[in-house]
Amino acid sequence: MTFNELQKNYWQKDAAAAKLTIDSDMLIREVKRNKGAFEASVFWRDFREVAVAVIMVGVFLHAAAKAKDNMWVAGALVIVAISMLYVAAFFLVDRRLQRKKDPRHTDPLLACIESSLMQVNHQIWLLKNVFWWYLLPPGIGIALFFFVVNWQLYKVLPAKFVLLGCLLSTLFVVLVFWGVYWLNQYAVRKGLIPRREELEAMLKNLANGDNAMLS
Amino acid sequence: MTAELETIFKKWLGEHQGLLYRVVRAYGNTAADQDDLFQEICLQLWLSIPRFEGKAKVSTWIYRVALNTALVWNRGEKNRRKHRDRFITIAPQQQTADSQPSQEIIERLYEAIRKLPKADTSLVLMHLDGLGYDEMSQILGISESNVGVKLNRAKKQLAQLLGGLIDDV
Repeated sequence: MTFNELQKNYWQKDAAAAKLTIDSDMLIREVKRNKGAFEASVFWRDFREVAVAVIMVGVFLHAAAKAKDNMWVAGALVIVAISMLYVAAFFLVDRRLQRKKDPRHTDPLLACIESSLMQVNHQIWLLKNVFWWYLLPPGIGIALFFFVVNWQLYKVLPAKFVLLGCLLSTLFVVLVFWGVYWLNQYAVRKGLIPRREELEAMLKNLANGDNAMLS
Repeated sequence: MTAELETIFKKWLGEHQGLLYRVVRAYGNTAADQDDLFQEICLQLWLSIPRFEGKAKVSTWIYRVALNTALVWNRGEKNRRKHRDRFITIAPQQQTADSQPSQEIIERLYEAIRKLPKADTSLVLMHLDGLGYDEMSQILGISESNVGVKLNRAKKQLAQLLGGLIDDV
């Protein structure tokens, strides 16, 4: 059989003969629900991330106020609070900027795939660099806090206890930070890199022959 | 505004449900995948209505939204739908001696289409639906000559996957 015969005698006949029924009222209700659920999930995702940071800022500022007689400890706690605030601000600004670049499903396919690829690349960049923008700023504040506390304990406790305290606190912070870092890199390896490869393959397949922006 | 949206949405669905069904069937491997993809396409279609200015044909617009959604649709997120109702039902076709082999061929054709690279699937679907190179070029965002080159390649691959069913490609 020729391709034209397949097209006319089978595909287009089947398309014409198929009796489809769509419950459009139920579908509209579901579309509205999906739209609401999507908007709510975006809002609560942002809210959760920022709320955690804001609560932590409050906790550290409160602790700093309580330690106002000890300027070094209070200062270290304020630095931790500022770094938390920085992380929340970074997160919010990045989200707002990226939302403007979200893929539009009404663009031509090539443009939509390109913007999806840019979005995935940005996610990979964020997670690969999670140490620099998410872990390091509070990490500096926390390290400073432990240094100040241990330095002051050194004045009243034997050195070996202070050293042990130093080692345990450092180990705890390193383990927590390593866990967060590892989880982020796992998400990149398992979810984002395969997705990027899939989008790159699609883009290469579609753009090959035209001057698309595949780099 | 919502009432107007609903009227347009219903009109589009009524006139182009076959197109949506074929896209969903070509990109979704299982019934659950197809339901999820159908709901996702409908959501994107609903969101696209305020941006439709009438510069393109409605069918071109719907094709663009449906194929874009199918191409960037992430199966990893498939379990997010709470409602698993089937919104499209297909009335069983009367089985006659003639229709049985034709249904088998259609099934084989969809199976082969699902094995093509995703971008080629969109080309083959549009070609089978009888769209011209200019319309395909508008939907895909590539030149007409490139559409021709890619379509020939996709048809050859499809013929291979169909194992001798087509003999002129």
